[in-house]
Amino acid sequence: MLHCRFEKLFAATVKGLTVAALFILLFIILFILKESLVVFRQVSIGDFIFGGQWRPVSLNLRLGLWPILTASLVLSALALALALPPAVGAALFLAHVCPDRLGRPLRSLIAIMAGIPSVVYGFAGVVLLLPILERLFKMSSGDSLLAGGIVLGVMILPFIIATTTESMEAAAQGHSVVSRAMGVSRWYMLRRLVLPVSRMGIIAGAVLGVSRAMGETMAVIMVVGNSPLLPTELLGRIKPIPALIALEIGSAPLGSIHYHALFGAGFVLLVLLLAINLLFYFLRKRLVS
Amino acid sequence: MRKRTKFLTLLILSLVISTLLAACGDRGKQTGGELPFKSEIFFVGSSSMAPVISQLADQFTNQFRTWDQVDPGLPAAEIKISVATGGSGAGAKAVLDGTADFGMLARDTREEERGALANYREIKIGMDALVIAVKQDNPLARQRRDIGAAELRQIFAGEISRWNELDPALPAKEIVLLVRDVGGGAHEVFQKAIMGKSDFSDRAVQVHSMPSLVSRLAGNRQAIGYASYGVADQFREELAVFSLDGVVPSAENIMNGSYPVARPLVLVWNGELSAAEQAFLDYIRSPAGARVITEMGFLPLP
Repeated sequence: MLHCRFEKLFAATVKGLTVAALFILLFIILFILKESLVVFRQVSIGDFIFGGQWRPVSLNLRLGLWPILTASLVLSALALALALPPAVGAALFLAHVCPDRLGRPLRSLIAIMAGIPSVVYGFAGVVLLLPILERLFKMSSGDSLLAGGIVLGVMILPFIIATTTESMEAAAQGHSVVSRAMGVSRWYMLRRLVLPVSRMGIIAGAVLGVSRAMGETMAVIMVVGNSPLLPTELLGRIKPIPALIALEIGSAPLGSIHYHALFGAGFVLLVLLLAINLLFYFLRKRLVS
Repeated sequence: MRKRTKFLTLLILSLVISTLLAACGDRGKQTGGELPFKSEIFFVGSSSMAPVISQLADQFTNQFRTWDQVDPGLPAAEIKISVATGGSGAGAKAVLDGTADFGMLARDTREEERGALANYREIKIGMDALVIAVKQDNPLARQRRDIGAAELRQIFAGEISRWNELDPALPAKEIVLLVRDVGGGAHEVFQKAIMGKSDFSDRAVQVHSMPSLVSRLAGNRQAIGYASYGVADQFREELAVFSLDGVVPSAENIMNGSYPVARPLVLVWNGELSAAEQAFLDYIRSPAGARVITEMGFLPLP
């Protein structure tokens, strides 16, 4: 009797908490939207998104997000491009090549990699990566799109590897026994069967990685230089949206146009992430059918 | 299985209840006595001053906890000092509206702000100054240790972007500009004192905190940047500091106002101070308070 009542109470609590969590999310989105609408009364949406200069406290005020927005996109794409090939390789190795005795510690190592705080990655970037880039490319200062891409690439590796490994293990079920029975070499099977079948998992891993990369703040702030320039050169400095918000929100007076413009930037980031996820969603749907 | 569910339920319930209880606590605790004693002090204003006041408040609260520890004549109420940011202007306005006890202004007060308050009072608790510095073995620092305000403006606006444009004898390398984030206190001081109406170069590297700016400065021969007085002092072995049009950024020159890249940290209030407020102000001006101000990178005023 008693435990029955407890059961009901438990169910109600869990439901209540779930609804509360959803409401918090909804509230955050609405709040960001509401705070950012103020800026569009003064700057048109077109100017805000496609404007080429960001000078929020200058005498000639400019609130153009274009260099910052494109920096976010290019940086995430670069990180993904750098991380995807090794991640897929590592996943293939973990799922099908490496012996179990080595595989288990390797997997926990990768899980640990996902848990390292981003400021530690950023610190490593500043201390190790920047001097290398400075020497390699004779740069005056190593902060660059490339540095950000490398640091972010390393950071999203474990996420892509974990998702991809799982799908590759699932993909080989059934195939591996048949392949072996037919005398097909292991590498042929991996190349022609496992890789194509697990492309869903690879895409899912990529989405996860990009989402993480788009929102990453601390590690990026420390290595990209935060100059609001268009991301046209690999060795140029950039300032992606999370860096912009983190750097400037602390000093933007409450209620000023600068403050609302930063919320606007946050909203644009939110929409971008949503768009990327939707894009992959439809891509997946088409691949499945 | 059942046991576990029960345990989980209890855990979640207890969490929820304790959160609710925590939210209810502290209410209705009023101090007795003839006069209602105000145990809370509320600061509003400049975001560059807020960390200093917060730090001072933390130290003060940790040291004394209740007001009677500060002064036996005060009631045993808990010390509560809150700090909110909103810019210097918001600080002055909050005092005028009566929504804050003190306004924190990281600039000289304006005539209209002084006029608006019936019983205007202020004290300067310190100075915030920026020194212009490069790494010790920077080629320009080997030549000279003085820089003109006009030159400096051109460098930070990006009109001079390579060292050899400053002097043909210097290498043709890019000048790496290290600055703090746009809109922050340091940015504002530098903008006002040096840049005037010019904008900072888009190519400047924005660093997220003053200590990391200075350590970057100390590690890059091609960089020039502004550093807050206190932090630059910690790195004096590694840095070469420039005088500005002949004025050395010494504590003395900053205090008497002859070094231009500086601003005062001012507290503003209206009317008489309560006993608690007076006690906290006394603490700010004590040697312990001065030490905190120095640690936060500013120059305390005697």
